[in-house]
Amino acid sequence: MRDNVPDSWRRQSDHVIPVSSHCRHCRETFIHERHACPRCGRGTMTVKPASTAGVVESWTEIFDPPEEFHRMRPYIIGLIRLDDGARLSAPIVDVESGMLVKGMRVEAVVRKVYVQGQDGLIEYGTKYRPSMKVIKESKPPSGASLAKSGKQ
Amino acid sequence: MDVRVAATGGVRYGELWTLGIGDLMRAAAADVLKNFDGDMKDIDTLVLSNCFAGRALGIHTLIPLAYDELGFRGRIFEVTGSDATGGFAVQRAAILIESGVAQRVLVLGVEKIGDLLASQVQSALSSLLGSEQVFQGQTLASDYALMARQYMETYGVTLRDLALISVKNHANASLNPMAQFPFPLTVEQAAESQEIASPLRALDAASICDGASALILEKPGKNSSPVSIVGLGEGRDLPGLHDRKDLTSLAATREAAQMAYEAAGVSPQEIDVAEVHDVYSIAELMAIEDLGFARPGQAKTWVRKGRTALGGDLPVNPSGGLKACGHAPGATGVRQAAEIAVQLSASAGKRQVADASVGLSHSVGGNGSQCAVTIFRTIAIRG
Repeated sequence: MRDNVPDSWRRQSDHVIPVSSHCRHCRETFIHERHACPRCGRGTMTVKPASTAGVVESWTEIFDPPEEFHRMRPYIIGLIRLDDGARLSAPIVDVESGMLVKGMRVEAVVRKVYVQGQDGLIEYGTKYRPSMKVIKESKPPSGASLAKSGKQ
Repeated sequence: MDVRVAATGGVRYGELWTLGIGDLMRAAAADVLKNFDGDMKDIDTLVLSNCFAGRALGIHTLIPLAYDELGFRGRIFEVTGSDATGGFAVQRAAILIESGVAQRVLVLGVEKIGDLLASQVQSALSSLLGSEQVFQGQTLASDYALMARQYMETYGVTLRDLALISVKNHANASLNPMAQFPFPLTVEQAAESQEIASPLRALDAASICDGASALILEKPGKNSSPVSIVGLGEGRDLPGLHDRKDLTSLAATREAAQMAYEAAGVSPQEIDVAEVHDVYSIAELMAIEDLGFARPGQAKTWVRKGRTALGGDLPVNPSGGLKACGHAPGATGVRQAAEIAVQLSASAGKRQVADASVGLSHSVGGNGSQCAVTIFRTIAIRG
């Protein structure tokens, strides 16, 4: 359903070298190239390469994915605040969900996202991984158990 | 605005293996006409509401099918608006009548998605998000899960609180012969069901299924039904959650509600009954606040005290909601409007909300990128 070579080409650059857009009026930064500011609607946007590191603000682990992602389940989608102020949602990799904490530093990494059928394109995109090695012994309370107690 | 609801109808939602999309359209149309004092020749306009026929069946417009299956020879419009399409279709029909273009409109919402595999249904739901979110494998559930996590952290809400929503909606559905799941559920069953996108569980989610619902709307006349649509509101928001300032609330709902209340000249406190878009349990909790019934963070208290249950001071989803009636994305908004009309005409049987005279229906598209809020009230019949 998503096997579309021209569409992948058009979007490839933003997928592997993400940019962010800064509104000169609102002084707020948004992920991706924007032609209108998501806040004020003005076209006062300056586009530059996005920061390649940031912190985890929140996350969820998907157990019931779309068919294209079935082989990867479960996987984590995080809300990440980049150092340039832009917020994005993206996969977090190389870490178990139980090891994630708010404020954890993460860095961008190019990874395979999806393979378009047997003979199609391999689509790459930007995912995020912890900047430092996560050691299991010093495990912080897991997201799931905190959510259960409602105190998180 | 004064547009009357002349009749309601539809089929029971569910896994309707023996029925195709044409069968569903015919069944819902036949049911609404059965409840209508007239026939198809009295209808001048048909408004079709659907979300996924293009994706699930490869049918990108239902107009030729409706012309053929229903034998309808009037004006036909087709409305699109994600899984809020039904809410928007009712509103478009009301606008057509109010503007004088149409005299009597059949609104027909239909969805045939059950032939897809469960994972294909998840792909279809994901397609309601932004294109970058689709690219990365994000889902409708994962967006609501991120909202749920933020909401739970901010307001001290637990999985048990979320479970109370599903439990309440199943209890209501057990009184509704048209519900897909007319059986009770316990808090433990809901809170301990399988995780779909942490922290959300399988029983926090509505089932995506087949269904069709219909309404006939008309100009007020001498023998009109007393149930009137009196206010319309619509709202929109950015498709990416990461672009939104606040994840504990849907700005599209707040915008739509404010517009509808102003148009109807009604305050949130005057609403007697509401059908809200509980596609996930967290969505109902947010709707109770975004529609102005409870202050931010207070919905949990309402739910814990049973204020939104049947017999409470503001029953929410007396039908059982999307959770227990089933969610047929292109039809649900029409079903919600029909439920409010049935409640206001005091013909809801065992699930009747006592003395209901002002009602509200709330339909959300995708992760809150669009919303339709419609206000209904009974108009006293002149003697």
